[in-house]
Amino acid sequence: MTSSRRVLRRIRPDGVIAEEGVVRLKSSEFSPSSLDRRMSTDAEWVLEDEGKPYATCLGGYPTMGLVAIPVEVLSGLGLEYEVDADPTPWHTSVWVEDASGVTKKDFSRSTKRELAKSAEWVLPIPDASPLE
Amino acid sequence: MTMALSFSGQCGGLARWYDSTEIDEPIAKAQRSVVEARTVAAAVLKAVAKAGLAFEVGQIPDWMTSYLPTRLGELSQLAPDWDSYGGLAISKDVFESTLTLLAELAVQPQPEIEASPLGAVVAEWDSGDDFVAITVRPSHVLDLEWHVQDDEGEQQIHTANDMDRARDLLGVLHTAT
Repeated sequence: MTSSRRVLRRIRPDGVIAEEGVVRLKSSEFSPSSLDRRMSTDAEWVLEDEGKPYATCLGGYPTMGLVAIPVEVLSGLGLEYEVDADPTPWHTSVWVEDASGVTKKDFSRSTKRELAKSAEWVLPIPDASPLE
Repeated sequence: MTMALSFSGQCGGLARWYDSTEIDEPIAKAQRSVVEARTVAAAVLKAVAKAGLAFEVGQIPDWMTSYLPTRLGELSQLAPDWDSYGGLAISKDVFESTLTLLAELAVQPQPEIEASPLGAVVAEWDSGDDFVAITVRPSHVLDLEWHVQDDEGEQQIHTANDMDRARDLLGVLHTAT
């Protein structure tokens, strides 16, 4: 694990696309939930403090992969994040607010595309081709 | 096990025996897939008609009768929590709105069509870092977002003028490539 702070997000096998020999992450993998308008992630640094392996984040989804995004990227995109420790000690919410401080329903397409570009694999999808 | 007699060649002199389960079952499976695809494709064409558009034969982009039915068929299979983060299944209304929208746009090239955890369908065209995306949300809300040649923005689609705006952006996006 690295020393810089990153959040982790599960990626579905259908969450990558191959184009002209290059495999990339789909921006649609980075969206807030309809329940609370927040995108669920896990704090890599808390996971490390707890002595847990990355696979802990996959839980019951062994066919998925796991990517990491530096928190500096989140801040640079105007996203808020908070380790809310619910339901796990490392659970971290990511969200975006409008000018009046109200949580917006969704991230902009540009934000999702930047998140996809910034993400690095920490656990590739089993049997999937490596990303560019 | 059933056996069948097959003739190859017009003279019929070359006959052979085969195990029909090895051939008939895959054929039946393929036929079912074709029927399912045709059902969705028919819905696409119906949506085109519903939108009041009279296309000449050949004016409908190929992807609308090939990729689109297949992709929407795949997305229709998504069960709640399909993304492991509580993603919503997509409603019939959203699919119908998507079909109507894409039939009305009827543009080349093929967009990337994805589900959103918010129960929406996203059609996205991109070219390098530039893109045009339309999100069809529940309640028939259409969000247009773009980044084309340093022009970035978002708006909802309500009127024919808004559709023209989407077409213009797509035109610029693909002219630039």
